[in-house]
Amino acid sequence: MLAFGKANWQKEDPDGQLVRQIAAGDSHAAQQLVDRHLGAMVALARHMLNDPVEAEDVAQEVFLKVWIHAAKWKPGAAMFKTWMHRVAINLCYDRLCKKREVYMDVLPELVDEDAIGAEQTIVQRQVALQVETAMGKLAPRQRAALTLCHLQEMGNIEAASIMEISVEALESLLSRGRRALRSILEDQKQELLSK
Amino acid sequence: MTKDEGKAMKSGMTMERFKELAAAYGADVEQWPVQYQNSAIALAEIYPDETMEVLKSEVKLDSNLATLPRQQSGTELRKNILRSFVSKVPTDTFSFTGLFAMIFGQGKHAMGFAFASILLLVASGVVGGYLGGDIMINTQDTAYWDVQVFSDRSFVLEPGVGT
Repeated sequence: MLAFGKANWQKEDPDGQLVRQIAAGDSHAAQQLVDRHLGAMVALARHMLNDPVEAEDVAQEVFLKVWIHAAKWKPGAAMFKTWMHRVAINLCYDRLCKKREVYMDVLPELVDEDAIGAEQTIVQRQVALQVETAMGKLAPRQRAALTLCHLQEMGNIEAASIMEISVEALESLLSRGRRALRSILEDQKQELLSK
Repeated sequence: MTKDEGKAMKSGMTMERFKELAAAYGADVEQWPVQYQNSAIALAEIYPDETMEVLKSEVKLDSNLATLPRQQSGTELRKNILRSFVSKVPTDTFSFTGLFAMIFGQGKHAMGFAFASILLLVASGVVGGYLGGDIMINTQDTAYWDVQVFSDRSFVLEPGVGT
């Protein structure tokens, strides 16, 4: 039974073997896991918190939890990656609850979106900054749903599992999140044009 | 019911559901849940103008979202995280794998295990010699295969009950 469980886990969870090695103290496995997931963890926290420093803190906390809990990890219910994302999202929720004020970056000026070449890169960065600012204004759960599905490119079932909600609820959060984001971006644009 | 409506019903997708999916997952049908993709394409073939209009309304937001970075990390952060691994290696559960992984470092487990096995054999030989124990098998009663250990710290294993 146990042997079947292990075999199943190793076959299905791409991180399963690494987690076992980490539990045994293998630093090479720890490096591999960090290389595999650190970028996504930081990006997820960055989109959730709209703060690069806090995002790095969250990523560090996630991996600290991985080191501590790797030995207790029981395969089967969810992929390890899913568990890591869930931990990250919950850490972000905690931080968002503690935050009383949301610090907003000064919005960049809108520029001609038809610009080409080097200018296009600059435009893209500015648009990204505007979108990031707009994302920061969304409700945390809408932000989480958008981040997981649109930025982390997760399937709806996996994203719903991370957020511990049904697929229908996820879909509703996505729709409302996109609608709100569109409206915030439009407001930002109007605000900038009126200055 | 028109011919097109009949076809649309066969596709298993309604225009209303198509709109809901586009509103949630965006304009790229390939990013929609797999179970809806074929029926959505089938509907788009029946109503190309209407479905295109729905998708077009989501394209701008998709391209805005696409400007956000997917992966972000710094070298310093990676170093700090790996440093925290060294200090947080679980100590509540002992395992030989862990011990030897720590002793012999990364990528050398095989060599570590081999060396550890030799160490264990030597150590058990030394301990065995110190205890001075002899293991004898009572061959007179082969029905039980009693194993008896005699020494000044001797103990006797009783015949297995029910064997």
